Amino acid sequence: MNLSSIAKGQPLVIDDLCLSFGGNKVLQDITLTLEPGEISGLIGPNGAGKTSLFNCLTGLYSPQQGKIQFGPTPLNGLAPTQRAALGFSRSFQHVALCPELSAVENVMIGLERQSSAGWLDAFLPLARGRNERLSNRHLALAALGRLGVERVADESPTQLPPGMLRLVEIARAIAGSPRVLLLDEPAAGLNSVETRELSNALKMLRSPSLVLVVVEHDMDLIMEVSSIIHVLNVGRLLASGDPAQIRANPEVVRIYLGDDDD
Amino acid sequence: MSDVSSAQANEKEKATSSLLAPPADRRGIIQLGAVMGLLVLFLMPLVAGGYWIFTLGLCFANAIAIISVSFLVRYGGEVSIGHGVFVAAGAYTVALLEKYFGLSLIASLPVAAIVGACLGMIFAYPSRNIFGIGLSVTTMALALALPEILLHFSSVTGGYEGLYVKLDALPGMTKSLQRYYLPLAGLIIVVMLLMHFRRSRQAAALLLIRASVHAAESFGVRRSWARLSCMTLSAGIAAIAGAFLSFSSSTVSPNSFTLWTSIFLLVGSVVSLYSLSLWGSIAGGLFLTMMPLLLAGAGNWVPILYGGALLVVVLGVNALPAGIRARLEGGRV
Repeated sequence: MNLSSIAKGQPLVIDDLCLSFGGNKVLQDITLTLEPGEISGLIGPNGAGKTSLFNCLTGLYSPQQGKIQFGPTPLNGLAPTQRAALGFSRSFQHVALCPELSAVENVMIGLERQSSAGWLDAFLPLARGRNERLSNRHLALAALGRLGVERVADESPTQLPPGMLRLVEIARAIAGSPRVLLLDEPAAGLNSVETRELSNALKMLRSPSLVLVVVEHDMDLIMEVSSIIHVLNVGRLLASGDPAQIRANPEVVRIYLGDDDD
Repeated sequence: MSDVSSAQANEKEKATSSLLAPPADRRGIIQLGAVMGLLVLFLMPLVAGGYWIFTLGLCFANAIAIISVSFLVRYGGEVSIGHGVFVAAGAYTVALLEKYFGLSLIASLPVAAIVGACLGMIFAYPSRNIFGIGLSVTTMALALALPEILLHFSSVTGGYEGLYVKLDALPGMTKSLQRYYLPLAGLIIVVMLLMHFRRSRQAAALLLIRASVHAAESFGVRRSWARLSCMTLSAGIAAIAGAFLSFSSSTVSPNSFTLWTSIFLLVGSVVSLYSLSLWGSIAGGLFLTMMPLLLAGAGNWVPILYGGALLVVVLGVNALPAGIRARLEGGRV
């Protein structure tokens, strides 16, 4: 099964998903549909299960109950690498870049599933490998450019501040033209200018062929970019709706957003 | 981004790049030094005696073996105490192909590399889910078993006496020069291949999975693929080293491939700072080859002096300023 076996613009459907570790129920009865062409926000207090849901979607966790389906394709039982082949891409809550690779080399890993240079290309200076490497570097630079951080392309991650690392990791996630993009707290550690650029980049990423889900604590950002917001609380889906509906939901305000008067 | 912040970013960029890369004039001096060093290596046989030429030939072969161990550390994040087995595979392949088929090193070297790589893959598959100390001990088990296996099949392997490697590889050149130049050429080629490999997508994938398994898997890199690839390549390089070792020493025997051989390879890798560069690996190779010779007259003091020398090197390097240490380690892989 690969990317070409799934038509563009398919929804990601989560049906009655339950995940627990021992007796600790992390996710309970989660049912929602993440549509392509929208930016879906996923919010909730710490420990609500947002990252666990991402991990279920990418195959890092195996839910005990429920189904996840990408278009017509059931994902249960598929390994993370197989989901990556279907076009899944993500960033992490804790930045997971390789310190021994430069920023642009890290981003080039986002193009892994569409690369084909073999072992001979790896060891010998053959034209195919060289051309693919050059082309991937251009694509990676373009991804960095979309987030306004092209200038750090050849820097080591060990030399970059946390906000910049976050943007490099997002560039890695978007470099390979994913079908499903899951961004876990992309604005964490960013200053206001960088958050503004991230917001613009997210809006530009919106496409009819992309399911884009953003977990974020920055309410200004999530309210600005999201078409629909899902609110999780202690492993359950508390509410779903557009930003105005979520803002007006008294339960969400009580549990997560808080009153302005507080 | 605003002009101010971009100007600040440019300043920072300049500052960090000056930390990472030496300035152009110093880089020129380093390159000149490397060229001079290579010239010295190529001209060495003109000035050095036969004993030194022989010893340096072994040093180059050992340097390749050290690179094989360092490759596993750098790209796989794993430590092997059994790489002597893969070195032995290469050495015995060369000796056996000469004994039974009359093939010289030039013909048997690629076969040795493939045999070593296959052995590495066969070892890696069942142990693909073993990591850290568990894997190290597993490799040690290989090294412990090897001499007994070689002795058990003595009709093929020559038993205690071992086998001889006598055929010329390059007609028209004296044997002593062949024993020097062939391992040197092999070392340079291995280093160049690995320099090219470092820029490949496979190398990036191996390095990422070492840093973050979850991130790598989320981008399609399988952990079992990484382990198999890493061990296969490392074992293949070790077998190339073994092929050159057998040629340069003219003989292979079980005594050359004990557990101590594997431990000393790891020591050489540590001394070389896990370097995959020419000079780093030669430093490790020199330590591995020369130190026992230099200490040969010390009688019972040999192990103590050897251990002392090792401590001096490891602690001495550790005490260096971080910038110099990073340069000695070769910066990024």
